[in-house]
Amino acid sequence: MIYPHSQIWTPQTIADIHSRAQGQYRLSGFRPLRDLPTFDELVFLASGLTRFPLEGYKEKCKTETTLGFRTASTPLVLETPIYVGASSALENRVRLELARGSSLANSAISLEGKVNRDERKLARRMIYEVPVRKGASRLVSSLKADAIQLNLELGTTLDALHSLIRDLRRRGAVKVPIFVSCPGARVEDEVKAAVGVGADGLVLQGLKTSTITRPEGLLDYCRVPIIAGIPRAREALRERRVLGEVSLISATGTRNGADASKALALGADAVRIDEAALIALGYYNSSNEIAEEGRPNRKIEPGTGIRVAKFINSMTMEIALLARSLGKGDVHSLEYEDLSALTLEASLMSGVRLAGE
Amino acid sequence: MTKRLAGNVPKALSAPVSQGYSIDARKLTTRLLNASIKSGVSKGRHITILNPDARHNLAVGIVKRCSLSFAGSVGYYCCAFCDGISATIEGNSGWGLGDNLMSGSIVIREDAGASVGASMRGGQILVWGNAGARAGISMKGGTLVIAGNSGFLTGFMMQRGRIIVMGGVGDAAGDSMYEGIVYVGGEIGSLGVDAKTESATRSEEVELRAFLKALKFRDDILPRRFRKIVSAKRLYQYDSLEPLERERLVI
Amino acid sequence: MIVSDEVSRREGWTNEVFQDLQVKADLGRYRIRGFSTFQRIAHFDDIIFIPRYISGKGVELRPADVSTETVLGTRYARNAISISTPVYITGMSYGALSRSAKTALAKGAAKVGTATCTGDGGMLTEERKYSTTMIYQVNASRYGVTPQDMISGDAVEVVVGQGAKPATGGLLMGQKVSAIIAKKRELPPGIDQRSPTRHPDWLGPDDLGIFIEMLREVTDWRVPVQVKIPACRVKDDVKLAAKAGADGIVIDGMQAGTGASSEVVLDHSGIPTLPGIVLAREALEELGLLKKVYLVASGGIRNGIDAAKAIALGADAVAIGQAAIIALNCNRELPGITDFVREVGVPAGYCTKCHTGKCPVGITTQDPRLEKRLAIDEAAVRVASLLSSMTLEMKLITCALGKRNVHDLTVDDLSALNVEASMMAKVPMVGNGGTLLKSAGRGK
Repeated sequence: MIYPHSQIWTPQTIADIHSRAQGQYRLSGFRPLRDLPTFDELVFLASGLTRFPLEGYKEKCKTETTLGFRTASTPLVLETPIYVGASSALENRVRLELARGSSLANSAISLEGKVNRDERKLARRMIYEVPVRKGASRLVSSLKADAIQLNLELGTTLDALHSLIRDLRRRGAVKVPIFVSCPGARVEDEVKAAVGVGADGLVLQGLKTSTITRPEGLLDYCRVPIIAGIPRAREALRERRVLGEVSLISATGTRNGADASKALALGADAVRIDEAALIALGYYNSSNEIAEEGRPNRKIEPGTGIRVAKFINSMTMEIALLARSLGKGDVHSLEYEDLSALTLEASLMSGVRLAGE
Repeated sequence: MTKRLAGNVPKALSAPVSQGYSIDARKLTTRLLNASIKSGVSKGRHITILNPDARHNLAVGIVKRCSLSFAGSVGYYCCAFCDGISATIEGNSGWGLGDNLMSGSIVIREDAGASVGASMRGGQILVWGNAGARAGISMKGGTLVIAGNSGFLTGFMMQRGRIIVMGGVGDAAGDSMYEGIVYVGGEIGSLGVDAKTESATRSEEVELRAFLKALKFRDDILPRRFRKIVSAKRLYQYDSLEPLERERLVI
Repeated sequence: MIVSDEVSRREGWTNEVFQDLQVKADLGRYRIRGFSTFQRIAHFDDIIFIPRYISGKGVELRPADVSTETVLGTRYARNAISISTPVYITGMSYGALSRSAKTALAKGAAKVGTATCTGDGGMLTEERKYSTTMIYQVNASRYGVTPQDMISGDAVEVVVGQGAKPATGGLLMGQKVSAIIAKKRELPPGIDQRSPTRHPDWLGPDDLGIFIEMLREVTDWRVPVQVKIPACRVKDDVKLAAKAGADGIVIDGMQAGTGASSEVVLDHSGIPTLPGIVLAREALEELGLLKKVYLVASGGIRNGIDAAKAIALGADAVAIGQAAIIALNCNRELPGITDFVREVGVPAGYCTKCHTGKCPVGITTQDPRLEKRLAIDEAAVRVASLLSSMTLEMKLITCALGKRNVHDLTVDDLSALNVEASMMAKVPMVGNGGTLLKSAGRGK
């Protein structure tokens, strides 16, 4: 007799342990009692008799997004609240196409690791990601980035962060926005620290449960889900009296325009897409591939980047459609009060009232 | 009202009427007033409504041929959902005058409020004064003539029919039109989404002038030429990106 | 190779999401489809009736003893509508639906003595001819609206919006804007038609009050005027509509269906039917208008038990759309006649292609070759059978609860099986309670 799967001893868990026994580290996410809420569990309260919806064709919905204007004299200006992120683990040709896509959509790309000249040329706007380490500021100067993102690592001290920012500004990077990436663990601490050292924006991450193959990756599991993180970050910004000044970017879990709209409504000023851009590009073909941290050996033809642009366009249209149905003429007018929650977990995590309350 | 047309408004808004009688609106609730009008209509006599006092919903839902006049101003939705009426209004009107008119004629001496002729399907409305915003919104047929100026969103989402404005139109004129034509004698504030202008052809101009002359517009005070606002028809098919959205993608 | 689907599903990166992204990377715009939301939401299955098996009365009731007569519209109208069962067929446009479909619905409803409703496309002569009670819909587009048709109706419905796609207008793709439809709607044939989101002649609740009065004057105050509201800010909207003078309010939840909508609004806008009904009821209670203004619930009602639960939660009647269409033959393979996979690319039971006009069973199409596949009189019998089965189910549950009238069902007859349903429907959980959620108490 074959027994149905145990909740905790699934074939994946068993395979993980086999791998470890062979000396290869693997951990395939975890299995809480209920699936973690995604943005799907939040819905919008469209106009009725209390607000007028805007007409589809006629009434424009503004999507222009300006980030990092707290101290930067040339803030980052995008035509859509969505931009692309690319990790250093991706092959060069993939990063080139992502850059191309971000430019065609009049947006930006955030590049981690070594950036070559082709990538810089193809990217209309580029955010350069540097780790908070000694000598990081030297990396930045030759590149003419449009914004800089400082990636916190475990053990980053406030001093190191502070001196890096000071260094960067002294070296002439004072004109462009400096973002700090917040892992999304102790959200309030991270936000307040970043604000305290003078960050122009925060790139907030959230819980990811994909398979990891290095023990360090375990930290990805030690964060709060993004629907809890964004409202908490927003409150922390409000307490520091910089809400509306320091840009908040949501960097996890956005799969479509509905997700992006909800991130904006919860308090984000922009949304960064990583996996979604790769899927639109055709780099990943199934959810198997995303969960496994391998690199599918897939050929990406030059010019494919336009798919990313089209995808961003579809997302932007979805956001505008939802915003108009709420009577808003600007996607940045989407607000907390426009939302309702469908499940208790989503309600308690995000603070959004449950439908019916 | 545009200066040119001052003094052109005829003394009598319509031809002399057959023997009729009057009803004093002050003495009646709207419900009773409309009931009296409807029963009077079935007797085939002209009815003059005295002291309409800008009340709402007067003479709505009349589907018999009849002849009415209002000796004063009317409120919202005057003569809405009618078929075959011939009405004159000596004062101003509120929103929605002649809403969903099927056939017949409505003439108003002063200004008409927003949404005059909303969704009208046939017949004719003539405004000797100015019209408010959204004149002829969602129009499906018939003719709307405005001697003065018309407000913003004139002809918004118009499907068929003609709007003829002697004066100017406000912003977003002809926005999201399907078909139909807005003729404008004066200034166009701005064009709406998917609207474009064309020149009227010679025969169109001739026909327009003849039509307007029959409505008692003097030849010498009509605009020298009319511009046409029509749909640019780029929103017809959804599979192509909408113009607003296409602009975003730089290919 | 171990399948990692489970992990991705938990994070939301399912195979559906993959397909969605790749389609959008081709299309460059949002997607459009028919049917209703695929979100998993607390619905009627999450609350149950708790019959009394042992009653003090000692009289055993039978379904035949139960009354389902329903009268709607006693607030202002001279002639309220009277239907034999509290389920009627909701408004669906001629255009989205074929003429045969609308005719079959009218005939089917008449067979059991209940009402139908026109839709966003005007009235068909067949509808008025065959329907015993016809509600005339007035929506933002005003396609096909004439005073004579309105006057011939037994009620008027002013549509503020629909639950499937709140605050966006109707959508009819070019392939369904045939010459006939185009003529009726006064549009160029083949155009991708989008109805306006706002009415052309009223904007806010104060104007709505004048507008409703105008409709009453047109119809000589004879017939009820109901206002259809998509479930979003329910309490505010219901109160405003009631104050504007509505005889009745239709509350349409997010599970409602449509012939075509952008997918993003279908899945992510509006609140579910369960809390929609309860909030509407509370709004009327707070105004002292409960039972004076009638309440119709719609959005995902599939059978008589769903209908009974909606009534117990406070509705006076329910309206069905998708269920009626399915009774007509939606998503049913007809051997020798249809081939869903070949015609619409998916097997029967999975089709959501109403917007394409390729409906293999002739319901949501304007193609005469497809429409022929819907035999009107047989379809009418199917609709009548569905309605009768729903009425029987309502009678069964009502008498099991020891009551003689379906309108006597109340919230006290209900319990919830999970927390969301308990909080949304405001009925207690089954069991002894003792949880921190004391707020999930009994409704009045």
